[in-house]
Amino acid sequence: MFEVIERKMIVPNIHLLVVEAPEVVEEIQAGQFVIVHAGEGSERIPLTAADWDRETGLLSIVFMEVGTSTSKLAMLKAGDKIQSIVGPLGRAVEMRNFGTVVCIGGCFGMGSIYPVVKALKENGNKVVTIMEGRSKNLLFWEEKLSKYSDKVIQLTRDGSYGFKGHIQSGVDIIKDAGIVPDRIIANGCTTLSYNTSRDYKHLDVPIIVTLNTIMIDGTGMCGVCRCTVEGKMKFACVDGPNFDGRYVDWEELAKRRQQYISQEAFLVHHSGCGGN
Amino acid sequence: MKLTINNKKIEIGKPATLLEVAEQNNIHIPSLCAHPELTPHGGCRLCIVEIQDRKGYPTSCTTMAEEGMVVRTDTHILQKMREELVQLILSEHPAGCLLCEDVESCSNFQGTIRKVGVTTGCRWCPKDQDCEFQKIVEEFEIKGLTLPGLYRNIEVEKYDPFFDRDYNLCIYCDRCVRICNEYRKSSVLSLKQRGNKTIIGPAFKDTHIDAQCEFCGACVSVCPTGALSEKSRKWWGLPEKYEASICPICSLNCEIQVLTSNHKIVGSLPPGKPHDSGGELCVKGRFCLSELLNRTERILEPQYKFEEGYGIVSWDLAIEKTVEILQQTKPKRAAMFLSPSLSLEEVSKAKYLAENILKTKDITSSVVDENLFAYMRLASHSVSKKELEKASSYVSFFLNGNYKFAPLTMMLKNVASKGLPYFQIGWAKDTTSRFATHQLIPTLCEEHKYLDQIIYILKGDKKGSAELSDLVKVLQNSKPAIIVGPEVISLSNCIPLLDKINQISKLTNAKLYLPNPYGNLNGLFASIKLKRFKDIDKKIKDGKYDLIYLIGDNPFNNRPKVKHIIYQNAFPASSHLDPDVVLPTAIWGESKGSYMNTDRKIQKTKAIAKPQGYSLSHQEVFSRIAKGMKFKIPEFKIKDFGIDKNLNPLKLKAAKKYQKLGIPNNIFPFVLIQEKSQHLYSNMNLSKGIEGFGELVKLDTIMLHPKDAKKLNLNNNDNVQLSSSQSEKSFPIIIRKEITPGYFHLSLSNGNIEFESNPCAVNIRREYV
Repeated sequence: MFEVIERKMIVPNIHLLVVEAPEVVEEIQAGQFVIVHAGEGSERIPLTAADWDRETGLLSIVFMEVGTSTSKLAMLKAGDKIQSIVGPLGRAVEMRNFGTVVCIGGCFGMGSIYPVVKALKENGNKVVTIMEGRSKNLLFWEEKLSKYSDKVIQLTRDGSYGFKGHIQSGVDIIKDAGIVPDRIIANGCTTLSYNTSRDYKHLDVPIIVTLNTIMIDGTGMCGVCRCTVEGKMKFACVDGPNFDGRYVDWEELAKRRQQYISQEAFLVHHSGCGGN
Repeated sequence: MKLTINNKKIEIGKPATLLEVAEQNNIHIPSLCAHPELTPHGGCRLCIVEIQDRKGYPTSCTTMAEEGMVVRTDTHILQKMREELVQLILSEHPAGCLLCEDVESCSNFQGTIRKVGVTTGCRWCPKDQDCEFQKIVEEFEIKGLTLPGLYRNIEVEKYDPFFDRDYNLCIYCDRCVRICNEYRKSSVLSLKQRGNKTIIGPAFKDTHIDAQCEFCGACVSVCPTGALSEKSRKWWGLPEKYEASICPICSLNCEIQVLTSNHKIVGSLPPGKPHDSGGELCVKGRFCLSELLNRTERILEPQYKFEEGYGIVSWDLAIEKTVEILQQTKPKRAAMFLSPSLSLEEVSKAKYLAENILKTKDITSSVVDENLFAYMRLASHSVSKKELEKASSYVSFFLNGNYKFAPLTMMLKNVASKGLPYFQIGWAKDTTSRFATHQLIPTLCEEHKYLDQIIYILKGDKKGSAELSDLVKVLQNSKPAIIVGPEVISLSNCIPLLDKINQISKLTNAKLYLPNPYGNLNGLFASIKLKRFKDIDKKIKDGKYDLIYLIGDNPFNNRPKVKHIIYQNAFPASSHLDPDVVLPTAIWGESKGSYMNTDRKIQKTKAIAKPQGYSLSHQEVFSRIAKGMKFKIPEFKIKDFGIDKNLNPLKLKAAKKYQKLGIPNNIFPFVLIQEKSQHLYSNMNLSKGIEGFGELVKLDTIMLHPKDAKKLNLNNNDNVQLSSSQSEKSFPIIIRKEITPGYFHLSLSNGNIEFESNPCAVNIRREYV
């Protein structure tokens, strides 16, 4: 059992969960994820680690409330117990001095990109971080990200903060700022990953995205998380979750993500009080 | 009357607002708060117009058309002002998706529905593509914000059943408040606070349950944004089809439209445009039907009890085994149980099977006791709803309209607010009580004497109290209608009380109206001369049967002593019933059928979704059995059945004597009213099968008024010991404002009255730990 130290909604729908998991934290590296199982009847959900402290053994996860199991997580309070946290899983994101790296964090990705930003900076890179959200009230961790970034760019779709636009507007913004990236790393929803891969392709640099496939065991046994990268079948759990977005078969990915829609809509509903 | 709008000469007959006139003449004026069922509000101000020789920009929804008016709806300045108004609303409404250029690619990748806790944009909103505000923003082609955004950050309200409320999305159109107060007359909602702190909800910090919301869902239907959303339907997206049908839960058989998505039934609404329908249904018709189909535990495969235990079997084997059992059963050695939720077709086929194959006339239903017979006997004089509406005064006896009979309670509210006298006789404080001219509470545990009083005064034998004289005066000087609530069936003295009500109706020439809580009980009574459950039960105990055939019905917790039990139902049996064959069946919505309502009108339903799992419709099961036995069951035809069918209630030998009840005294100062739970479909108790409904009608829980709870120092969920002169039992409690002080209310799940009488004088104390 893993004790919850803190759980709060940082911005609407996006929650910070801090748990005591010393053994997970000991080994974890930027880009790796854990599988959280809230308890009986919950799904096991893969969530990218957003921060950790090896001294205290605390692991921070930023997650979005989007279904039955995450809504259960969203109801946790300090002192509650989580049945299991398995990790670290997946491969760490490739890390060395690349030169200039543009990091993109969209939505919950603003949390999970943080360890990447931090590690890049520690490896001597010039880091430009783009925070992307629909509105000003949905951006978070600006201060934390600024600490390890040479430049932070805010993008909102309604223009309520920073620049107005979606991720493709970032192309011109970095160009105008004279930034020539040697690598792009993006964390966020599938739309963001796809759009980044599409819009930044012309820069001809690796675009590392984190794929959010449906995943069950996270250790390469079940194969539910399979995806096609460079024409080869890959498992997001053991071969990823970080892949070069330029070579991902996005169409297949979108289809595979939709296979349980009916079941999901049924499960999430709860006609009584307190549920979702 | 003649006027000009945008240079178009228009002539109108009836008085109308400018907005209505424009709409009738295909002139589009944008609006958000206007609604055809509601009084004009003038809140969103989008419908502003220019009128020649009139100062300012009046809202067309609140301005009546006048002779010779010259109106412009489309000038540049109006358009600019409207845009600014939309911007004002946008600044407080999560607008990210409305202004995003990547909307299309986003929709493609968000195949998984974003079942978020808090809506932060359209692609995350249950009302996406069905939102009036979204359409307005698209109409004005707004591409950016001109004002700084303000997210209200109000916690989403999820603590009431059936619908969630996210007031961060609210645009203050006031439609929900108006429909609740004006149309449904529930007066639960109101605008609270002021300025940018304005919020909508019940007074103080009451939950909707506390505020006696009836959960009719009218507010959810009319909400133009995603602020109010249906829990069970919010993640299904726009429904694919709207199919007309009727509700099978109670005898009113309200007309409904059934919403489907992905070939599943996902919701139900009253007839009419989805956003105009104003809560004509009760909570069961509006919210419970789709849950009954999809959320309750169902039997999905045929099963047979082998020597080593139950096994899932094919339909062929299940039918073969059923046929074997039927063939083994000797004439008159079988009893059949039918649910009052079965359609006329199903009942007629079951009857044919019983009479011609099993050669038995012992057909009953677990709900049938002498009280129900007496009720149905009186119900055979029941008039139609239309006739009922023609009365000029109304008296209800023992009616508790909470969470049921919406068309009836709405009618009572409407007539009473028009000024017609409405007397409510009984102790239930229901949704109509506030509208009653008088609520008369009969003398505790001496209700018959109270009704006798009315009869004496009617006959001129005696003078009564002021309120009773009032009542009699009204009864004698108007065309009265008497409504009897089926709650009377649970009372110990139901039969003598009904007898007295009958006398009153005869003396005053009143129309009678007796709705019952079962979907096709009228049809069942009209089709079959049912036996009393008690008599059949006794014969079972005496070993008079070899087979019990349960069709959609099951009164037994444990297996009765018979050779064979066939269980034909959609919902699982109690765990100790131990039937020989289990035949899974379809329910309403999955099979077609006809139902007879309180007006004794026959209405048809169609099969909208496929039966779940391997279940088959009852009719299909019967025809497979018939095929196995090499005979044919005749098809049911309304023509042969007869439309104006009389009900067949059992003739009772003698009117039951009045049972003397203990009158409340110092030792037993409270009155306990028990009610056999009547919220049933087949043998599924809605309180058990549907979580949200279980929150509204709590079973086996003492409900009491806050005043009593305070006096007794009790809190919700405390366990109490309830004692009467003859027995003592413990229950949890729940505090509800709808209970009359001094009374306790108990809904019973098992269909038996727990104390020696009903009502019963009781005392209460906290259970010792």
